[in-house]
Amino acid sequence: MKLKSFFVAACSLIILSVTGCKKEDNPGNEATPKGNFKIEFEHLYGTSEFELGTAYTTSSSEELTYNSVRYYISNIRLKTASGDEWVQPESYYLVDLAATGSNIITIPDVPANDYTEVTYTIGVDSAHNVSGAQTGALSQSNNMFWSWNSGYIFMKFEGTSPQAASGFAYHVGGFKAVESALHTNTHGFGGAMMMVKPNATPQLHLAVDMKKLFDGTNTLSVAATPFIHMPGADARKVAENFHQCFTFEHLHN
Amino acid sequence: MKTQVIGLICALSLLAACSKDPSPDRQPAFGFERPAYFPQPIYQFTGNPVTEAGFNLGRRLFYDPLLSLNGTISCGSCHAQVHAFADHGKAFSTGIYGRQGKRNAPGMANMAWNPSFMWDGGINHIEVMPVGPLTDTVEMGESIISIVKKLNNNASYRRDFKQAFGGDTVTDQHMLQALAQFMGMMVSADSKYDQYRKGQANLSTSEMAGLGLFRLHCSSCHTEPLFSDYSFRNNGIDTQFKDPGRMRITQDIHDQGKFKVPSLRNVALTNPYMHDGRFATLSQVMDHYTQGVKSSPTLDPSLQGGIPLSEQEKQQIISFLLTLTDYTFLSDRRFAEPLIP
Repeated sequence: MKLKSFFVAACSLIILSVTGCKKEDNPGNEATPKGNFKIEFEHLYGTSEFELGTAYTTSSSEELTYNSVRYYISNIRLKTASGDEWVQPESYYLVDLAATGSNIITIPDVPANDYTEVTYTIGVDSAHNVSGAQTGALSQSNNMFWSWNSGYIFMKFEGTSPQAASGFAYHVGGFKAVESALHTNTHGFGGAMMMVKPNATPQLHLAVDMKKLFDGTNTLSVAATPFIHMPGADARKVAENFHQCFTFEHLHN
Repeated sequence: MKTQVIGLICALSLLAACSKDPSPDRQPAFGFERPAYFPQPIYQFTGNPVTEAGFNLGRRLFYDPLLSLNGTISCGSCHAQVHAFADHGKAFSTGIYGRQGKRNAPGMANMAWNPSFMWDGGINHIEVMPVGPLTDTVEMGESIISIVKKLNNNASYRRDFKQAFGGDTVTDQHMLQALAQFMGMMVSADSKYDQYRKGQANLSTSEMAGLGLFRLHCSSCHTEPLFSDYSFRNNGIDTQFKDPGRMRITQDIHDQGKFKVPSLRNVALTNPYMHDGRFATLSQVMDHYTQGVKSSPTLDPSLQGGIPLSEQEKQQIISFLLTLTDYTFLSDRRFAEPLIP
C-alpha cells in the first residue's frame, strides 16, 4: 500500500513535470518578468488630425482626398540607455486607416526594462518577400502583395484629386537592393524612459504627418504621376518621403 | 503485480503526455523523391512538409472551379494532365467570362526545381505562384480573401484543411501550401530519355543522333536533365516587342523581349510553342531556329545567325524530343482530377 502510494505520487510528479516541459523552452528567461507596450500612430496633416475622405491641398496646389492609407510596420526593436537591445520576433503589423484601431499596435512579451529608444522598419524585410506564403499581417488576404511581380506592397495611398482624372494610387514596395524602398526609423524618447513591466502598458505616441508625404524631401505630384504600381525610382521617392513623416511625440508609462 | 501495473500506466501516461502534439499526424516524407541525376530542388518543402492529406487537398483545390470568381475555371481548366499540364493546344487560354489570356499557358512538371515562375519570371516562389492566376482578371479573377471565405463556408473543405494542417479555420497560407505540395510533387522523370539515363532503355539510331545534336546545339539553354537553365533569353522570334517579357519585371531595356527558357519535358504535348503560342508544331520551331532567327539588340548571342541544321538533323532532334514524353507522369492518377467528393 505504501509502495503504491509512493508510485502514484512519483507518477504524478513525473507527469506534472513533463506536462510543464513545453514552458521550459527558455529556461534561463524564467525569472525575467515581461510586459507589453503599445505604439499609437497619430496621423496628422500639419497640426490637425488627418482623416480619410477629407480634401488636403499640397504646396503644389494639388487637392488630394485619400480613401485608403495602409502600410507595414515591422521588426520592432527597443534599446536601453546602456545599449541593451530587444528585438521582437515575427514582428509584422499592418496599419490601415480604414480599420479602426489598427493604428494602435500592442507589442507583447517584452522583457521588463527601462527603454530609451525604439526602432522599426516601414515595409517588409527581403527574407519575407522571398519565402512563400505567409500568415498574419503578411497574409495574401490583406491584398498587400504584387501577384505578378512577387513582393510586398509596403505602403498604399489611394484617393481622388481634381488634378488626376482617374484618381491616384501609389503602391510602393521594393525589397531588392537596387530598388529598395525599405526605411528604418529610430526615435529617442527625448530623455524619457519607457518602463516596461508586468501589469502596466506604456504607450508610445508617434506622429505621422501626412503633409510630408507629398511635400517632403521629394515633391510629388498626382498630375505628373497618378499611379505607381511597382518598385522603382518613383516608389523610392514616395518611401523616402513617407518615412520622414514619422516623429516621436510623447510617451506615457 | 499491482505496482507493476501502476508503473506501466505511469510510463504510458508519461509517454502520452510527452507525445501530445498540437499539429495533426504528419506522415514523414510522403512521396517526394529526387531522381538521382536531378540536382537538389529549389523548393524543399521547408515549413510545408508534404503529407498525403496536404497533397490531396492541393489536388482538390487545383481542380476546383470554386476558386474562380464565378465558379467556372479551375487551375486544371488550362493545365490539363493529358497535355502535360499545358492547355489543350491553345495559344491563349480562356479565363472567366470567356476572357483571353496574354501568354501561352506552360506545361507543368518538375516545378520544385523552378527558381521563378511565369514567362517573365516575375513570381519568386512556388507557394505564391497561384496568386497570379487566381487573381488575374482574365484568368480566375477572384480575390484571395473571397476564396478563403468560400473555403471556410464549405464543411468538407474545413475538414480537409483540418486534416492537412490542423486548426478549424481555413487560411490562405494553408491553401497555398497545399497547392505547393501538389505542384511540388509533380516530378516527371520516367520518359524514354530518363529510362535511357537509368540504363533501362535504348534510344533508336535516330533518337541517339538527335540527342547528340541536341547536346551540341540546344542544351546550353535547355540544360539536362530539367531541359531548361531557367534563364531569360531573346530567341529571335521578333524585332518589335509587343510583350516586353522579362523587362516587365526588371524595367531594364537589356531584358526587352527576353522570356524564360521553357523546359522541354513532355514538349510533344505542350503545343503550341513560344510565349504567345505562335508555332503550332515542333517542325516550325526547328525551322525558326535554322532560318527564322531575327536580329535585335537583345538577341541571345548563341543564336546569332541561327543554328545550322539539315532537314535530317532537324528530324533527328525532333525524334529525340519525343523521347521526353513521360507516359508514367501523364497517366499518374495522383495528379488526375479527383472524383467529386
